[in-house]
Amino acid sequence: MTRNGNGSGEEHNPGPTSTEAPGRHPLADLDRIVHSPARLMIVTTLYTLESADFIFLMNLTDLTWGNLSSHLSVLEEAGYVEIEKTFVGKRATTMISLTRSGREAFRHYREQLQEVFDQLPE
Amino acid sequence: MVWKFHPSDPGGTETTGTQKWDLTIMVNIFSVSDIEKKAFRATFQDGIWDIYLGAVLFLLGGGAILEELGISGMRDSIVGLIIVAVVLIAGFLMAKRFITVPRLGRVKFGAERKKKIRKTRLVLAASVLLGLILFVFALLTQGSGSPFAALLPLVIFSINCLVVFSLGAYYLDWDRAYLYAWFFALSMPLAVLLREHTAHAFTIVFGFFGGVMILIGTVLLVRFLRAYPRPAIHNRENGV
Repeated sequence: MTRNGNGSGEEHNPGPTSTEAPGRHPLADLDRIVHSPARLMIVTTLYTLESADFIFLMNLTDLTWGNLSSHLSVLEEAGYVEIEKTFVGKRATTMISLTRSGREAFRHYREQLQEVFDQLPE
Repeated sequence: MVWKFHPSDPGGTETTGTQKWDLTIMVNIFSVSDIEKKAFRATFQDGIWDIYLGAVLFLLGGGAILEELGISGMRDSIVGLIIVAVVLIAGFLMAKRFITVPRLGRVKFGAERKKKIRKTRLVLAASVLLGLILFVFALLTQGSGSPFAALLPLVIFSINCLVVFSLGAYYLDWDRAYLYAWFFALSMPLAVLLREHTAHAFTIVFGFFGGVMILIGTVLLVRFLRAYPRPAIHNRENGV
């Protein structure tokens, strides 16, 4: 486990690249960057798209401007999203997309959860 | 929209709001295709497509409606119809650009959706073309005197409308288009049937179906404008 260095004090498990300790509960190794509900909404939404701008993500996740902005910064710092500023005509637009490692991290996170759910009794 | 649940959502007394929020996300991450579908459907919730297609339905009966309104000069005018068509398309594009995009934002869908859209365009273009060829062929053979030949263009028009709109509804995950398929399909035969009873058959039928579509679109547009106010200018600069 490493500190993510984003000032939030959350632990960052880099997901697929981590070596999970044998015998540990799978939930203990969840990627905390992805696991936060707000970031999970962002990552899940971006996983289905090529890219979206800030307003589209804000509408889809129902997060406030400040919230979305700070969570995107965390995800960008972890290398999970790419934020690209472009111009459409004279208007500045910020297009956000999931990086390859972001996609990989989400897939790994989903597999871990699936594993936990599969082990639950009926 | 996809994530319209909130920690403060009412209902459910056994779990806290935050727990519910987490649980809903847990369920959603296993059905990402549903999320993509809902994100795509979000682009149809502004009602602009409904208003545009409603106006097109008006235009289909346009010649007869104009004549009934006393503007008979435009009835057979190709130029007039082209002008109306250009105005409709320009209005649609401008509405999308100046109403929807600033409020809903920009999105590029994934490879699968892009493939589906390309396939939809191809299938729709082929269906329209085939329908048009059959329609023209049926019109040309109308002079044979057979009652079936007289009805054939109407039947082909209706079947083609049903096929094209239903394919569009299926491929674009746009359920309202199934209803519009019936509106378009029934409009022409109903107008022809009613023509024997009233001189205003085209105005009534095309006006009714087109009007209902425009009404649905307007209601959706008003709801969209209320739900998605235009972000303030500093926000639109997208400072992350």
